[in-house]
Amino acid sequence: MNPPFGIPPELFTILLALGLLAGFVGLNGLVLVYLERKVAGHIQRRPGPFEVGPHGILQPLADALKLVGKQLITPRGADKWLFWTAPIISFAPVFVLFLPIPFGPVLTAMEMDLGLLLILAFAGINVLALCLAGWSSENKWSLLGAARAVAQSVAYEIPLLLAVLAIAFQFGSLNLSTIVSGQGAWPWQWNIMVQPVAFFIYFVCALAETNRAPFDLPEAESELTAGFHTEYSGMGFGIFFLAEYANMIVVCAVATALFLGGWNGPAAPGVWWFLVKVYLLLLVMMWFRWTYPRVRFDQLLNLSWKWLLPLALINLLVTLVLVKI
Amino acid sequence: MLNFTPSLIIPELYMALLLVALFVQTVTDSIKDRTDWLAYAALGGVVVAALSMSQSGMMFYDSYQIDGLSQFFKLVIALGLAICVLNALRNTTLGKTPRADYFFFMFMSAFGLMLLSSTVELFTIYISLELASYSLYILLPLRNENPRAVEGAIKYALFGAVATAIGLFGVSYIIAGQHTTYIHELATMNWSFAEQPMALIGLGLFALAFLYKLALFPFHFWAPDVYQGASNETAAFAATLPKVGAIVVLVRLMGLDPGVEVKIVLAVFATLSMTLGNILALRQTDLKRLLAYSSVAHAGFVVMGLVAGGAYGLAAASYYALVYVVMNLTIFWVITRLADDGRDIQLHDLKGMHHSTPLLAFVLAVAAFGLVGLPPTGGFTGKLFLLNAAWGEGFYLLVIIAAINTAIAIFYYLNMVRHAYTMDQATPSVVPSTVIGASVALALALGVLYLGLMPQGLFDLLLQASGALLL
Amino acid sequence: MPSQSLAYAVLFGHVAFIVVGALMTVLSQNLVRALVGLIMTLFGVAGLFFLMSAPFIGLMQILIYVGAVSILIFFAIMLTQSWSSGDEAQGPSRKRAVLASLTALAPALFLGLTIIFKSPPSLLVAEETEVSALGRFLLEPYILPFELISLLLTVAMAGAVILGFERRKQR
Repeated sequence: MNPPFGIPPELFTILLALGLLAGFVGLNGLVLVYLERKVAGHIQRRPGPFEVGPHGILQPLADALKLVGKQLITPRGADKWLFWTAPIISFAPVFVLFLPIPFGPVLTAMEMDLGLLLILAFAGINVLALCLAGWSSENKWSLLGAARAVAQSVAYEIPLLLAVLAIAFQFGSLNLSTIVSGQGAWPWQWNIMVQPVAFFIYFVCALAETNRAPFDLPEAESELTAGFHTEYSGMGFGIFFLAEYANMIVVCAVATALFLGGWNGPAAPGVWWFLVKVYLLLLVMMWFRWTYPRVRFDQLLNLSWKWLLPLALINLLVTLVLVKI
Repeated sequence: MLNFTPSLIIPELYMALLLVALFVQTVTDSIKDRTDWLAYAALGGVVVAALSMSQSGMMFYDSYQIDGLSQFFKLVIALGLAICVLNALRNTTLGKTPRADYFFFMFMSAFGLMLLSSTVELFTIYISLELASYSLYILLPLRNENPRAVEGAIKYALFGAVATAIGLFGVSYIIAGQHTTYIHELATMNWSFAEQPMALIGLGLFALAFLYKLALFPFHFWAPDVYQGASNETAAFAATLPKVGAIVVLVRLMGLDPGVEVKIVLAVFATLSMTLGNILALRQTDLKRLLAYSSVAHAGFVVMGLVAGGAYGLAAASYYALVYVVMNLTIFWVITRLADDGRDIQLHDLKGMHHSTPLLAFVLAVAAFGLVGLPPTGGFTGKLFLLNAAWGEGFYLLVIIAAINTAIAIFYYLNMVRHAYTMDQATPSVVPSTVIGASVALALALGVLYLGLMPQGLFDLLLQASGALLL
Repeated sequence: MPSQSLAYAVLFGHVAFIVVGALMTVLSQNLVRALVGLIMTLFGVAGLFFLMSAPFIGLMQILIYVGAVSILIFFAIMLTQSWSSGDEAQGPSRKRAVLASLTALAPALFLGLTIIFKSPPSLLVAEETEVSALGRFLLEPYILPFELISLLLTVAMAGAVILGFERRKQR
């Protein structure tokens, strides 16, 4: 495809990718809302949404319309400026996060050597948005949610980084495409066979970093109403929601690329394998959410600092020794 | 080349070993407070440092240099540490802090200073300085819930952070101008303002971080609060060893022979520092606060040697560092013995000392004579070298002001002696005396006299060392 | 040349972003807004690293400063009484403000003018360094400071624990 208007081809690719990604993120939001409600329903032996469209398939669209149509309310006493900046800060990094993800052998928005680092760096910004949202709402539940988000994300970011580092050491690269092409088509050629501990740590930490149950303490609806986004109405809430789902896709996509062979797979084109694997992981996340009870806060922190962190360190050391030999 | 030769760095390895042992102690509940063995260990450190005096070599890709200067300063640090440890073994002001923790940070600080005396690469110097200072920031507030200690520590830490940040900013200017951070490469470059203005300004900023540790005017304001706030034992450490570390780095930096502009600025600072420190010290009644202002004045004297530069000036500054440490440790030893409950000693607490503890009164007198700079003490000889160096380089005004300042200083130092010898207290205080306390005090006093009477051997050594620096 | 003026526009855009953030940090009456300003500054600096073809450093800046350090500062702010009734909400007196800005401006002007008028010509054109080369750089010529930093962090952490426990025991 030749870029029009004499735009440099690299820039054109990125612009095109950003457009596609915006569509992908929006569409995924809709699909995941539907999926989540259906999965929840079936796990609890009820049909889930059923009224809007066949099997409730248009329900997410109706939800989205409702959110868009609602009035935006700024609570009294809130720091207005920060209050409305927070959702934007939460959503803006999402586009950057998708850039280095290899959806297929050539389907990468921006091929860069530091792709993995880029994702890790920008994924950390989300928690900042949660803090600002919780603080500027001038509401005790929001603030408690923000405080929990800080402690949780700081605690789980370290083992997550260490787990990812083990893979990076093994391949000597931070380029996701390189790591994917180093794995084979069949499950026994995937990194999860070599690095099961790293995968386990990564997945647990990813659950915590995206605030998914059983680690959804920042929004714990039964204690904190809705945690940090209690005060947000309409699309303010909608954007947080969309960002959360986008982040879920990102962590699952990174897990797929690092541990599950990425786009490698027999017969079908790579991109389909990639999406299938990502969605399988997403389903597992949903399954967890409706299976496990929420942990207590001290349990949450103990799990990270006393178990995952030492485990990740040992795993990294063993990897280092094996790589050197 | 990594060029790791363990035999060259035995003093550092010995310290590292002690640190490991202390670390184990800090995490083992049953032996947290058994630290008496440290007295022997620290004295062992002096022996080790003395035995490795003649080593020389380069390590870690030429960022770590073992030469005469570094070995001399390592010996000074080991000696100072040993005395500080002996001084602090019976520290009564620690509250619930385990003794092993306290000594861990003290040894870590000294370890950082030992590294500082050998490193010849700007980033390594910076990190070693931070290692020494962080440990000190933690030591200072450890004094029985005393809010003054916390105040002093916070002032020291906050301004210290700014000072080191400025120093680091200076490194960026040096890199922009000279494209290297290795001192042996920097030594071959031009440091005049006309040729390399950025690098010279960077060097000045980098030196500022160390002038702060030295408490030179206008970076002196932390000293009174830190000295008075910290407990006597901690103050003895904080007043002496970090300054040695600062002096060794400044000697190395001035060994680069920077442009005359830096020297003039330093000379102005030195003049103001001496004058201000001495005048402010005149009206202090708290002994530690008085010593703080006197240390500001002494910083001015040391900088005088640095300004003079050349092998003689740098050697004089190094020699004065040793003298300064010994004199201050002596007077702090006396203060700590007098304050058996850890209180701050006021001038009037000295009254009647010649009755209650004649030995300590004598040691106090020796230390005070040394701090003034009267013969036959080390203070006199050290100042003589410094004045000689500055006169030789043509800084006549500086020398005259220094001489006037010495005259001013006589008043408040000898005021201490006057309190101790000519005044009596209504109810004479009882000072418990121990054999160790008395013998160390005597040894320190003899040390002050020895440095005054027989400086030649050491000074020749230092002349050689600083001469090697200037090649 | 259009590409050069574009480069200047990008550079000064970054600089403006950093300066606005810095001013917000210093002038804001509200600690959290000040923190947001600080984060803006840190982000802008990361952008400068990107401009100088050092994406690894830039990303590390975001990962460490934006993602971790500022979050910790936020946590510390939440432990203070920094709400509208707190001490921090009171503005400084005019005299202090003037003195403080003079104190800040004097060295900034001196150092800035030095850079503008006296900066030596740069020897190198910025080009991207591989991460492996950067690693070798840290572990060969600069191995000693690199290893000492870990010791330094240990000391800082142990010290924080000791001082923290000291305070807690007194209650």
